[in-house]
Amino acid sequence: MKILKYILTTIISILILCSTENAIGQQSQKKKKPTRNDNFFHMEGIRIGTVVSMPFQSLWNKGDRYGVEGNVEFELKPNLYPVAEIGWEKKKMNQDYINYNSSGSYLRFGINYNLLEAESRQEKDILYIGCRYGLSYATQQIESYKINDSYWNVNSGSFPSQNYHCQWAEIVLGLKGEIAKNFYMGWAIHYKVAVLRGDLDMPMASFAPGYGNIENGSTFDFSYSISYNLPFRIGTR
Amino acid sequence: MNHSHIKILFIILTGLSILNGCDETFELPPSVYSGINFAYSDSSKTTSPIISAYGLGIDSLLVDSVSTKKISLPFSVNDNSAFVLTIDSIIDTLTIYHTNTLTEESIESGFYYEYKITSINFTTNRIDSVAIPDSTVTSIWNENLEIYINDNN
Repeated sequence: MKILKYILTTIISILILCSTENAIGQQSQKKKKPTRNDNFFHMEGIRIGTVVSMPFQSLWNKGDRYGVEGNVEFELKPNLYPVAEIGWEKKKMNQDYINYNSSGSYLRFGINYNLLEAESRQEKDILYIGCRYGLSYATQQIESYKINDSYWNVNSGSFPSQNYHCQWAEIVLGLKGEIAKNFYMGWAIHYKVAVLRGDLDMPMASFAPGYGNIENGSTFDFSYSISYNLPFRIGTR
Repeated sequence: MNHSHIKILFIILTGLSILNGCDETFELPPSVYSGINFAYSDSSKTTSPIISAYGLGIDSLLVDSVSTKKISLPFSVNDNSAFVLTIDSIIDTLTIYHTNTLTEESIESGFYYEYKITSINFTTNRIDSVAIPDSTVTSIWNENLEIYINDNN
């Protein structure tokens, strides 16, 4: 199954490359140039958005995983976008041997750098690479578990709710395209590495909102978002 | 870019749905068995005994008249597990005392017990002695007990 996930990740990466074929082609042609020609602000004001793929995460995760996320970014310097993201997530895992649920809030902040050189100020699409640092606080509970013992007898139990926190670092590669005036859609691939995990004895902290399964030290994730640019001038631009 | 966005979203969600369809199976928590070897006290005798085994108070057989020198037995979640062993048609009882440690496999698979053998008790109709080469019983099979069979019969 892991192999399938890697294959999928590869396909997604190829799709990114294909969808930005022209842009990358242009970029490679301009590699010889010492500096970028789009050293101007691409966006006025701030861009606020939400991740529309959050309610559908069960499509690529085991169990039921859903939530909401809002984000805000602005262009600090040409092609440099500080980002803050805040959200809430819940994960439920109901199967024969375990009944688990976890929910909590998270905050991520970081910065995106636009790799796509714009030909004019009207071109606002961006292909970006970014980094994030994330923090989450969550509560988990194992409402019931059963031991797989088909010979002697069935043994079961439960664990009360536990609070824990998690911190992680993240690399993001994504696209954001203006599909209507000031209205953007985009998607991104996230590679996350856990930095600090909740130190619980038993059971272990298993899911971190905003991160995913923290039984793994690192994980891939995917997001699709929509956003709107509130156009107003910041400072003396 | 607008149209390609929609296409890419569709392709990705379709792919993920297919992947999820394959992925939505959960592995069982591991089963833990103690490994038990049989040997004759007279080391010159190398044939395999005919073994049957079942848990004391349980109707179903764990091992049914098998010619072997190696069997695996599951422990109960109590502090001891008692087995009735039939070795070459002669019955003995083996009681293994152990401590149990609840272990988490993963949030997808759940929990299982690992055991530490603390002591043993047995009848000596056919069993001569029992050694404990490794008292730790985990999901990885290894030899925990060595049962020496007397060859008086």
